[in-house]
Amino acid sequence: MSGATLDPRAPARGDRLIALLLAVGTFLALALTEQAIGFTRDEGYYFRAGRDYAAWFVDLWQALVRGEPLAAFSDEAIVRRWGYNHEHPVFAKTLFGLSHLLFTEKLGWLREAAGFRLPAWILSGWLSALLYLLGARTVSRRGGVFAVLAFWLTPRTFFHGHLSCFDMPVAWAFMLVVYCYWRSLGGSRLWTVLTGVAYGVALANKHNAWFLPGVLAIHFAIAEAPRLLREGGRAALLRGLRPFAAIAVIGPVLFYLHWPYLWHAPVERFLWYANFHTAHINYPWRYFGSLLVDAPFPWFYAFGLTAVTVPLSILVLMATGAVHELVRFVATWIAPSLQRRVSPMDSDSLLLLGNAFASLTVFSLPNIPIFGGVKHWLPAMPFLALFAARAMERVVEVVQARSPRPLQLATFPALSGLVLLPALIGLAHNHPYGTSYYNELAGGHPGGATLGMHRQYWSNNVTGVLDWLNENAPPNARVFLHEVNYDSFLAYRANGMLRKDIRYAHGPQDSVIAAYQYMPEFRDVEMQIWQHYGTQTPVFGLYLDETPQVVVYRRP
Amino acid sequence: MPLTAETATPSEQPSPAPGPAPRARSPWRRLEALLAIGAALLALLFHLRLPTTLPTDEDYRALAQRIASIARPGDVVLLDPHWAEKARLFVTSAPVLNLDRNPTREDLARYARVLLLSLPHLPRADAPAARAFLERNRFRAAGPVEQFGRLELTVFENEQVEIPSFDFTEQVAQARVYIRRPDGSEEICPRRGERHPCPRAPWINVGAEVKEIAFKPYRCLWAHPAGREPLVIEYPDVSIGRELKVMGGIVGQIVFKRRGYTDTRLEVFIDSERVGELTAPAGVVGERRLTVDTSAMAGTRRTVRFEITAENPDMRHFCFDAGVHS
Repeated sequence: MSGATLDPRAPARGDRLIALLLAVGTFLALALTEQAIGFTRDEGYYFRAGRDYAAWFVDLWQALVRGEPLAAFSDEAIVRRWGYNHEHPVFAKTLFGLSHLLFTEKLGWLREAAGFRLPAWILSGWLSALLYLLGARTVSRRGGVFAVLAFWLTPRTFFHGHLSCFDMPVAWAFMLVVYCYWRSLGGSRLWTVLTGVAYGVALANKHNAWFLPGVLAIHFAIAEAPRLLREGGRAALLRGLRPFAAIAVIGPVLFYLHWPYLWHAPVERFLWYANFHTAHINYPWRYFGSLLVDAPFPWFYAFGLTAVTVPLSILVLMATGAVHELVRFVATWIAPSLQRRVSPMDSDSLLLLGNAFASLTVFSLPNIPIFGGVKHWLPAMPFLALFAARAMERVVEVVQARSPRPLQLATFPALSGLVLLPALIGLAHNHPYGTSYYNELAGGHPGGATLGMHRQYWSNNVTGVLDWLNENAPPNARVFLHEVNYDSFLAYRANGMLRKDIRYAHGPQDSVIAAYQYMPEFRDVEMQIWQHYGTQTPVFGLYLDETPQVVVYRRP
Repeated sequence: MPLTAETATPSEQPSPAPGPAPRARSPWRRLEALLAIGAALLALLFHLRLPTTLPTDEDYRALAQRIASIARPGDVVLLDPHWAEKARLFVTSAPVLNLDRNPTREDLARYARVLLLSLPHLPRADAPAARAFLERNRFRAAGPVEQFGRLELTVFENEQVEIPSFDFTEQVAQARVYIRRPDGSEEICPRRGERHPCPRAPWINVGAEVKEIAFKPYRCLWAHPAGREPLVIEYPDVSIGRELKVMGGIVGQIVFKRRGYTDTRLEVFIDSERVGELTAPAGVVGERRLTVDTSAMAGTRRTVRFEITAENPDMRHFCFDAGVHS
């Protein structure tokens, strides 16, 4: 396959332009809505890590200028700059830090937080482009656009796209690996190498990438290997395995090279990193009335949470789309008699199916810690969005069969609008409090609270009370922002969202104002505030459709 | 089963767009279309209706004014749904209670009246269930449901108010508090104001606090154990009634942790007789309750002693409330 025209998976004429427009649109949508989104606890840490890591590049430059380039490569110099937050690889954090260094510190174009967050928006835009390009060939051109919109109009997804965290970057990296692998199936050497490179980038993002080769291997074993053996014998099979060789060789090498912290003690420090994640603690999490604290967690947890956090209209299409593909899978490999009713599953659909279910399944196992909600299976969502797009095509087909010919052209846009409009309304209504969203099936914020779901997490909702604090806090007031870590507190001040004179309090005992973030496992904190302040009457709060999110008390 | 030539789409070919036109007549396709369009319409309807279910600040003010005009000592405002605590911003004339998802008769027994504040129009609201809970627990509606915009207020009267004749939590200032050493000597925790801080550790500091046990607020005695040596809280000259009731539990999220932690034991003595024991097991959520039949001693004055121990006192954030009931 030397030319794009011969590669059936290559973008058709105009697809690159549409992909670019979607990427730019995604970037702008995130950039223009970013300012209202608070800093999550993790962001506070990553701001600091990004600064440290970017400082190493400054060290390197200065060492080069001094004529001592090796000085920046000593273990001491590396640990000084890369030692912080070494429980995660550094690809995304380095981008955050370098972006901040360039666009905020050097050029002064972006405010503090936007400087850190910018790379996440670029990767989000890139994800939209890849999703479209995959969708244009596995669904339809309009289906690809629909998938991109369905993906981003899911409020929690949209929220995560803004943050200088790993969740959207790793979703992008998953998509990048899958896209490159998919393109490599035609035998292209370029895409084979790119598959390995993409996997290295995925490993450098987050440990979610560890299980991705397994998903691809299952796909290869079921769908590709038999065909290659049939068509070209063992030689063809070995050629077909090249993407996996690239993954196995280029991936780990890139991972090692990208992370200076590993350079001097690769085994010891990698094992520490791996152990950290294999023995990760769970944070308490409320789920349908139960506070989940320790394993075993409920089976199908990720499916249950997805069912109440994806807008209903999109959820139904994702669900029917996924069921349709599962039936095709069964018809192809388990019960061929079903092929009278559904078309057999093709290789590409199997690839989508595997990636749609892999992350969801992993986080539905009872021994996997479930802290953090939907962000952990974000890599599944683009693939579910593609299934939603396929479902939408089928719905359009049914409706068109009953529509007068003049209206048939308008069917897809009209039905897409009908499906996406409630999602857009929900997103606008919920913004910027992404972790609080519950869908229409749950009953929105009130329904989620009554069902006993986790109200919020990550402390970013505190932005809902910052204006009140700025207006009402006495000069130099010590303020306890419950669950807001010190780095995030400093970031609110640095970004002009919190008055400079307001001081950080560690708890209600040394504060005059306390903003309690409602979370069931922290209920005692609110009662400590009552105890210390001698009142149970708040003075202000962030209430989303009546549900308390952040409650503010003032010492009488 | 391996992919066969008949069933496979060769990977050189892009995946086909969804099936051919005749399948548009398939009942499954029609069902899928119906579900998709129905869900979208329902979702739109949800968003149109939601604003009409929410009370306004004016509704809250009117309701708070009404509560202020009828509230008496011994009243409490109970929220329905339990999480609807925005009412705290407005209602200041009576305590406001959020009893989470597991309210009990005991949580409300001491209140003469419950003012049930309902938001009945919210999605998933179930106002009849809240009323039924009260009626099942010896409360009866004492008037009609009053409407304040999208809020409702119903006054319920307690058919059997259970106020302790001696409240150990409120009377903690008169208690003698000490840690009993293995040799029987007493390490006194001297009274300081309303509390009894023990010299041994700052967290062994007996006093009345509002604490969360099983997501519910309780006014109780903070009584962090000192280990195997009992933390003793002793009340002299208590007039004994028909029953002695004790409630206790572990405060905060540490209650969910089992590994590395041990049970907390509270023993109750009247004079030298051990009359009961309450255990808060490590890793078991919920308040624990104990009722001691003291009818044989009713009317006499005795020394009541609570002894709290834990094999390993680490993070045993124990709090208990007790009262004599006549």
